Order: sequence, then structure tokens, then C-alpha cells
Amino acid sequence: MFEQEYTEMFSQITASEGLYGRVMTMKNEQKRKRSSLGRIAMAAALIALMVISVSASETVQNWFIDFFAGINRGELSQEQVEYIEENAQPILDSQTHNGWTVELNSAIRDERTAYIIFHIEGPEDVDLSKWTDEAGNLRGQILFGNSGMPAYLRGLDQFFDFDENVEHGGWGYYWMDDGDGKDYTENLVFDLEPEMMNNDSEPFGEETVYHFRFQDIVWYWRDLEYEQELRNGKYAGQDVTQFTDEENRKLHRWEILAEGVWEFEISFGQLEFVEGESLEG
Amino acid sequence: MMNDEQFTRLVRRYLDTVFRVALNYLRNPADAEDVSQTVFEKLLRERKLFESEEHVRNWLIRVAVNECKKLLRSPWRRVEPIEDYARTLAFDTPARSDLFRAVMDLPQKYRVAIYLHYYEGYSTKEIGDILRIPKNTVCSHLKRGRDLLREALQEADDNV
Repeated sequence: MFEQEYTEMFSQITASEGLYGRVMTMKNEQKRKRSSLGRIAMAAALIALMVISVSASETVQNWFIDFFAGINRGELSQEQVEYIEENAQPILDSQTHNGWTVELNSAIRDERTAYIIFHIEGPEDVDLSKWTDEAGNLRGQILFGNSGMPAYLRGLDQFFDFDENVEHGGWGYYWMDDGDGKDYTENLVFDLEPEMMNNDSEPFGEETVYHFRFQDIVWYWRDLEYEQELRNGKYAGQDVTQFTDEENRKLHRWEILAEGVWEFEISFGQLEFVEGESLEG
Repeated sequence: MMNDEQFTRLVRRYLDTVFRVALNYLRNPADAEDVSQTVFEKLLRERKLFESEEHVRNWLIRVAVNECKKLLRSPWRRVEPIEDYARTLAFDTPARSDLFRAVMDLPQKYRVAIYLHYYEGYSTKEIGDILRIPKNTVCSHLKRGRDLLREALQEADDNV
């Protein structure tokens, strides 16, 4: 009885017409895309003398394509894909402390923003993929922090120093799967959108150096059971999202996984870009 | 690489399946659509020769589950109430609408196992292979999921 009801109910749930349309036209998109991939392969052969291997370049391109597809909700234009394929630059500068390797892997920029991928590799018994609990709730994440303090509670200077010519900067960071099937490796992607003191100076010129400093690797999580307990204890009319400092301290938990300092300097002057091009939106 | 006709046939035959698996996993129709699209993009790029129809179906579901796991780890997840989607579905009886809501309220691990077993007809061993969990765990997920559904629907009946 249950089985019949269940199957009949789910048979009424189908993919939307829009999804059918998008998937059915993929084959044509694929044909168009293949012609540009052919051009990239030829260009790659011409620059075979480059120190960075072609396979490293392809990995970097694919990571950036996945990243921008994520922030653009899967809507990358053909031009954006080609832009990434042509301009993503591998760097591959790594440091290891206490079994944790942080690699300044690669960068790309458009007119206003630079994007940097750091590839993180922990000891093999560490699972960096534990983002959610079994019910699908966001549970925790790996962060860098000082003295056990999660980075998001600290200021901008937690991660990097701006060049003295930079007035302030918009920035963000995102964790993303590196697709290698290993739970102990992940990518951390930063975006930087600096505003300069002097409008004439170039935020990503060769002389402008950005200094990244990661101190301590911290596993951060929210105690969801305690949060539920707090919510249940609120009176009618009370804001269930407001907690006291003491409650917040118990709610936001963290544990230092590795102590150490990983420092990198990067200048974007060598990166090619196209004026007016935007990788987001 | 498959030809247009083969690809179109597989889309017609399995897109709904892939979408339902993803919906059960993610409880979010927009994300389920994204995952379904990605799965078929991968199918287009796949160079493997599939041995049988069953092989293709298993491959599609396995890739869908992997993509769902990947999405759950992504920092860009959208949070949309499933209730909004439920309202757009024109179920032919109120009981089916209640059943859908009760299913979507189940923990994820039960939803997926129940769907693969009761709708797709997979055995507990096959579900274990797809989800990479032991067969006994699948059995307990199915039992616990059914019990929870029965309780939820009973409660809904009592409220009526």
C-alpha cells in the first residue's frame, strides 16, 4: 500500500520543461565548445617551453571554470570560459608545516578583481570534506585563525596585508572541492577587489604586492544541538537569532588542527586581462 | 562519444530519475536542476562504453549522488523552503501532498534510500553500492525511514 502510494506520488514529480530544454540543447553547445578547445590545444603546443606543465594549466583552468560556474549559478558564457582558459595562470608555490601543505596554486584577474586559488593538503587522516551532518545541515569548516579564534571573527588583516597604496578592499573567500577524490585536500579561493588611495595607481600593477599570511589551521563548527536548546528556551516574541556573548561562545566552537604560519607574496602584474571583462555575472 | 540520437533517448528516459534522486538528496528543486544538468554534461563528455541500459542508469544515479555530495559541501548553497516547491506541485489527492511533505521532512539518508528502493526498485545491496554504505545500514535506513513516515502520516491524520 505504502509502496504504491509512494510510487504514484513520485511519478507526479518530473523535471521541468526548462530543464529538459537546457539538457536537450547541450549536445549543440558541446559541438560549439569543441572548436574553441581545439584552438586552446594548438596554443598550448606552441608554448611547450613554458616551465609550468600543460596538465597543471588544465587543472587550474578547470578549477577556475568550476569556481566561476558556482558563483554564477552555472551560467558561464562561452567568452568567460575562453577567457579563463587563456588567462588562468598556475603559480605552484608551496610551504609545509606540521604535515599541512598550503600551495599558492594559481591566479586570474579581470578588470576589477583578482582571484587566487590556494590548494590545501592536510594529513591523510583528516577529512576536509565534512561540511554537513547527516541531515544535510551545514556543520563546520576548516578556517585559518590565530589562537583558536576563527578567522571570520577577526578583521580583514587576518589573511593578508594590503599594499600601502591600497585604501581598502572588498574580499571574500570560498572553499571548493578540488575534484581529486581525496578528503584531505581542498581549494581555498580568494577574491580581491582593492580600491586605491590614488585613482591613477594600478591595483594589480607589478609594483603592488599582496602579502598573505595564514596562521594556524582551525576546525570550526556550530553546536547545533545547543543552538536548538537555546531556541527552545526563548519566550514568545523573543528574537530566536539573538544570543548573549556567553551563549555565542558555547555555540561557536573550534579546535586547532595545526599550528604554523604559511606566508606568500603575490603581485598580479604578469597576469593578462581584458578591459571591461568581468568573470562574475 | 555518443551520438545525438543516443543522448536524446537517454535524456528522455532518465532525466526525471536523475532529478528525483537529486531532489531527494538536496531537498531543493533549483539545486536538483543544477545537479541534473551537470550529470548530463558529464554523460556527454564520458568516453566509457556502457555495457547495458542498467549500466547507464547506475552510472547516472551514482554521478548524481556524487554531484549532490559536492554541492552540499559548496559554500554557495541556496536555502529555499521546500514548502514553496510543494505548493507548485499539482498532486491529485491531498494524501499525496501530505506524503510528499512527510518524505521531504525525513532525514536525507532515509529519503535517498527509500527512493532508490521503492521507486527505482534497487535491492539493498545495490543501494549500498551506489551510496557506498554497508547493506545492513541500508536496511536500517529503510526501516527507520518507513517508521518515521508512518508516524508523520498518522500524526497528519490525527490532526485532520
